[in-house]
Amino acid sequence: MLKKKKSQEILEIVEAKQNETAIADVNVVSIKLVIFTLQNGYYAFGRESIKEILPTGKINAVPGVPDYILGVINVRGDIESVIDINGFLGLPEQGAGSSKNIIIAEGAGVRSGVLVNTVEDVMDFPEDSIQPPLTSLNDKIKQFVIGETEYKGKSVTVLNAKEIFKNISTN
Amino acid sequence: MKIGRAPSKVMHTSETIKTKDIEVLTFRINQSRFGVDLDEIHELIELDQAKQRECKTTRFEDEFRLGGLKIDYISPKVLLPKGLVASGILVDQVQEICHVSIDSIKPLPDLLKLFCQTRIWGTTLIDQQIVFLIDLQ
Repeated sequence: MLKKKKSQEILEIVEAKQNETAIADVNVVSIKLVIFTLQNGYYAFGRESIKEILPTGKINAVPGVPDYILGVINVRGDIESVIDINGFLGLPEQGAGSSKNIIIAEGAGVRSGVLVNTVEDVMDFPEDSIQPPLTSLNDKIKQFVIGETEYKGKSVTVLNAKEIFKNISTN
Repeated sequence: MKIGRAPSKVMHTSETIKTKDIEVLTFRINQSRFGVDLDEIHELIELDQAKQRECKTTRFEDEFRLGGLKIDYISPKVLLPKGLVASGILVDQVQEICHVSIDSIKPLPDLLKLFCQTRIWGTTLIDQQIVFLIDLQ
């Protein structure tokens, strides 16, 4: 019998590990979250709400719009709005200088960029790892929160992009 | 200064859209760049000319209801819209007339459509800069 090539053995080991993971995954419903930071806190949107992640570029102010609409950016020839959601979460407004990323998100029929400090990760979380929001959370903010989970020992607030955009578009 | 071309015949909508370019006069207000279709402009005049003609002049931020925005005009001029030559709009830092392809014009992003009662109807890119297109009337 011919001896297996080393590469073949390695691939078999890798495939076996993937199959173990796959079997485990069938039994666990997971949600993919995009984790980002605002004012040193960790937050997340569901992956299904996210269209693109961009580095912060020049934001062109639009006169006569609410303060949380920071302006518009040029994304490969298309024009996208950029908003600051800190106010919706009870956080101080953030300056564009401290922000490194813009997340293009969509919800409630509205699409816009959201200015964040950094995008940390995109990963799967078991659905049951997302706990309901704290009861002590302000009602005004709670409407935008799906729940809480943990990432690298830090608490992550999972946000509802659809509710945030719905609130903006109806107020 | 009279802007642009000899008076043209009234064009039906389908004929207007067939032209691939519009000519846009651009100007800057604070850090934002704006553009107006030349077809909407009767004339661009100096502030003192407007005063001599007793032309009613409205500041840009008042005309477009920019809620509390304070504009420190650097080099103001008065735009006289077609059909309203006795009243003009004060604009700042008039720059150039550009040919803008209709294909390059984008509608406002969703969120801005909700708030822009200010007659900003679209955007285009000129020299890689975003220019907001406005209706004068």
